[in-house]
Amino acid sequence: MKILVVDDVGYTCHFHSRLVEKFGYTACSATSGYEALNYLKTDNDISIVVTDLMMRGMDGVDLFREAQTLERFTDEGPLDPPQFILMTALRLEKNSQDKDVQRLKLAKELGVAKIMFKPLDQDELEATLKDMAMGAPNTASNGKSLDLFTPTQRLKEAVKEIIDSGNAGAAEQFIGCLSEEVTSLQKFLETLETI
Amino acid sequence: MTRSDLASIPGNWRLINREEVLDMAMGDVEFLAEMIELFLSYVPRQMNDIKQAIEENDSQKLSDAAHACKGTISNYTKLEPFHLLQSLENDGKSEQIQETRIKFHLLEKEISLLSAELKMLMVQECGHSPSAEHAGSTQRQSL
Repeated sequence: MKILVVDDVGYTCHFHSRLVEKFGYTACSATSGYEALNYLKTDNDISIVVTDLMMRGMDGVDLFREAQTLERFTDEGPLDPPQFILMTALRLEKNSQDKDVQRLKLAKELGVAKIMFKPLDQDELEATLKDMAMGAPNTASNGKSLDLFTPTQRLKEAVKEIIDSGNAGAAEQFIGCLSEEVTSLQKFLETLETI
Repeated sequence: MTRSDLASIPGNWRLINREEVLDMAMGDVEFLAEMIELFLSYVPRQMNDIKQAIEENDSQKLSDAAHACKGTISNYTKLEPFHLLQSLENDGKSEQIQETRIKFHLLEKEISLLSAELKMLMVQECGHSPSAEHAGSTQRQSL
């Protein structure tokens, strides 16, 4: 499994690639959306993409969209699109007309698995990559594993929205239960990996 | 005593938080040295991009260049240089570039101080200075 880091700012691209390597993963990097797309077309080992939002040419949202339509095949059949982490230094503000903020909102609507704000919280990044890696297809072995991260993340975000809307008590109870279930499932999957 | 001199006093940091920077490098001094060297090589180029955008009155280019530089320094400080870059980025977005030269001059001073602090941190934590290639790479580029 490889993680592709995409950022058109060389320093940031290098920094995040090295960080991913220090977490124990194999990283590759691209300094544009187009270059990233070429990597995805030719390297089936890439299961996770960590991309910047604002990039000249193809931005992170366009890269996500293009990646969903890419046809990637292994000997065992078609491969799921990679999971995405979108990085941005922007902040989501209600009613903002800033076009970059609108792109960020669009990314959320399109279902990007995770949006992280720069500078990245390294613990959060490591935990997110770990969760994603557990659900990432392993092209080196037979079959595809289940993507557990994306639906779980969507559920969590849905509950957060309930909290934001004011029904805090019920929603907090629900998210607590959900987190427990996810932890149990992760432990179960770790047990499977060690067998 | 200049602000750069202040940065040379161990433990006297105005822009960086030593613990946070070490956390960023996950306590790995080699990684820290690598990232500081990289920072010192990138920032002058990014400052040059901002300078060119101002000289050309190109607001889109200014917004892009300030945003990129903000991303680079955000791992080290959220203080004055970060705010100045945010302000320049906003000026570019709103095409209000009358005060950008003044802000750029202030930014140059702040970036010089940030670089001085990072060099000093590198000496203290990693036991060596940046390579000669980057030692003088943060000289001011006046408009």
